[in-house]
Amino acid sequence: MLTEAKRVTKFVLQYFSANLQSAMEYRGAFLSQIIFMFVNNIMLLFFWWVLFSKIESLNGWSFQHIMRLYAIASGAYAVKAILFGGSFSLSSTIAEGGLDFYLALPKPVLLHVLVSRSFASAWGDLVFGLAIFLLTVSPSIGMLLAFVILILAGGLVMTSFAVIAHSLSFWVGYGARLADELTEALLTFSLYPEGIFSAVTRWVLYTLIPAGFVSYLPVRIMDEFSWPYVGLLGFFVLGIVLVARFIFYRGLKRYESGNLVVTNAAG
Amino acid sequence: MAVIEVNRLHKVFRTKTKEPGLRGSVQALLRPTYSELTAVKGISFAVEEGELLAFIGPNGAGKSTTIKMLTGILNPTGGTAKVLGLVPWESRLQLAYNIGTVFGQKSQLWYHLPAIDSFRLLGSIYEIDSREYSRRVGEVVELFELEDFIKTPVRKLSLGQRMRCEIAASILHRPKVIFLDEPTIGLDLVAKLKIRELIKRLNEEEKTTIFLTSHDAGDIEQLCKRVIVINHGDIILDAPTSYLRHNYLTTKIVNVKFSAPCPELSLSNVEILKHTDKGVKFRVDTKVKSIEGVLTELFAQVDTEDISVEEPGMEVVIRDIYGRAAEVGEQDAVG
Repeated sequence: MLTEAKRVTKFVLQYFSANLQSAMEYRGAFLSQIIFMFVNNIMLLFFWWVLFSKIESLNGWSFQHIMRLYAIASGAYAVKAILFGGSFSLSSTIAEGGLDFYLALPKPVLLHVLVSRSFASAWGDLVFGLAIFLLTVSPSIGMLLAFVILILAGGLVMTSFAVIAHSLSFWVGYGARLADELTEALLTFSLYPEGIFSAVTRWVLYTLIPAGFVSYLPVRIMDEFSWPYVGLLGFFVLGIVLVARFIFYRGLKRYESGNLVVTNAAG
Repeated sequence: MAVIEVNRLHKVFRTKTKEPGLRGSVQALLRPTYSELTAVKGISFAVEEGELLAFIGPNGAGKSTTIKMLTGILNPTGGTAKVLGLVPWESRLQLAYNIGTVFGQKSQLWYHLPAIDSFRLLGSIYEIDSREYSRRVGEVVELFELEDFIKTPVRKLSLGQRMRCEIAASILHRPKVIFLDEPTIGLDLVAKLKIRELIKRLNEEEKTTIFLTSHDAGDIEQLCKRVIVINHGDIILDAPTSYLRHNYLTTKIVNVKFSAPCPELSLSNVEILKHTDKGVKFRVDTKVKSIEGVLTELFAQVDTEDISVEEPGMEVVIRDIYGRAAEVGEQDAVG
């Protein structure tokens, strides 16, 4: 089990390194994408700052909460885009027969597809997330570790959600548009404070579109640390990872049978 | 020993059908209907260890479907297959460590990085230990003569150099069988010759069994001793390459240069293509009349200075096989 975990980590890191090297081949593009993303995020946060200069709090949420929300959601998004960038285009990989390549190699197909791509611009999100986070806490190694753990958890939730959404392509054909809408919705909801939503919407945000586990619960953990919250987050992360894996491999069976809606039967 | 054994392998795809027009689209949306398409019709063959085999057929013949089943990517509808003693679709991961694949549609190399970086990543995918990896990279660099450009980003390589790196990448883990899908597509003549030479060396020096698909008759003629032709999901020919050239298409073109002008010439059962005072060019079907017979008849009438007999190129042979298969297909459809 431990050796397997070590092997998987090594594999993920090797792809991470190759992706990073590849992005750095174009230094100008790499740096400008990062800077652009950083500035873009600052602008979004600026609007909240303007709002909070007029009001004290928004249903219990202060500007500091919003900053942490942005820090964690951006960091989680960066984990998904940097480490598991293949999740963004999984639908087209499925629908266009791109899984053949991964099926011919001796590595777990899903993990391999996910780590095969990386988005340089997401480094801007990561730097932004970390910088904003450190502004809201007294910086220490412990806090840094907490940030890393929380964004890894959020990143896994976002990636798993994307895998589930994109895996619909196994059944419906080109499901890219739908999957993009769903993953975009998760990101958007992750960037709004939980307090502004009704009870029903909140229920949705802790189940169907699990923004609650990407950012709301992590912010709460930072605010009022409790082991049950940490346990709940860990439990949900594990659950959604397993569900995503199950759905993808169920769909893969259809791919292997060659009976996808979009299969090019001839040839 | 057979490294690939295929027995009545069969693949049927279920595809959605749609009537033309908007009405058809709405109908297909509400009540989809399906039809079955047989891509591979119970084919059987075996490939021996160390063989260099050409597996050819026109587009849509069932080549890719067969390769996908043999590499474990697709499950068959019926029949059995074993590659290196393993059932591909049951032991895909285990098999992947022992086979190599070069698919035209997806490069294994990172476009922006030098090939050596992709090699390192593949080394880790195949879990090659570091000492063996260094030794192996040395070997493939020498075998494929990659020394001069192994550290150049792939995007800056010529297509031929890229393909050399591509094949080299697929043999790092010392596969016993390698599936090459159109390895010379888009290459210029010099690059094609180089790739062919390297594939031949790979087969001879490392005893790798090579399963090659190609549309290039030269690849088949110069590389493979055996050809399997597949069309409409059926094997229509499984024979040595020489058999194909010598027996399948039996017409030959004979060029004769006369020593002295000869305006009158009478040859039976040949098709005269060109006749001048200085020479004659004619086509003979060796099934109807032997070359010796024609020449005896010729020598009796005229003194010759030079004679050459042209064999039809493999291209013509293959075109002829496809043509005949299409005719049979049409007859079947009519019948």
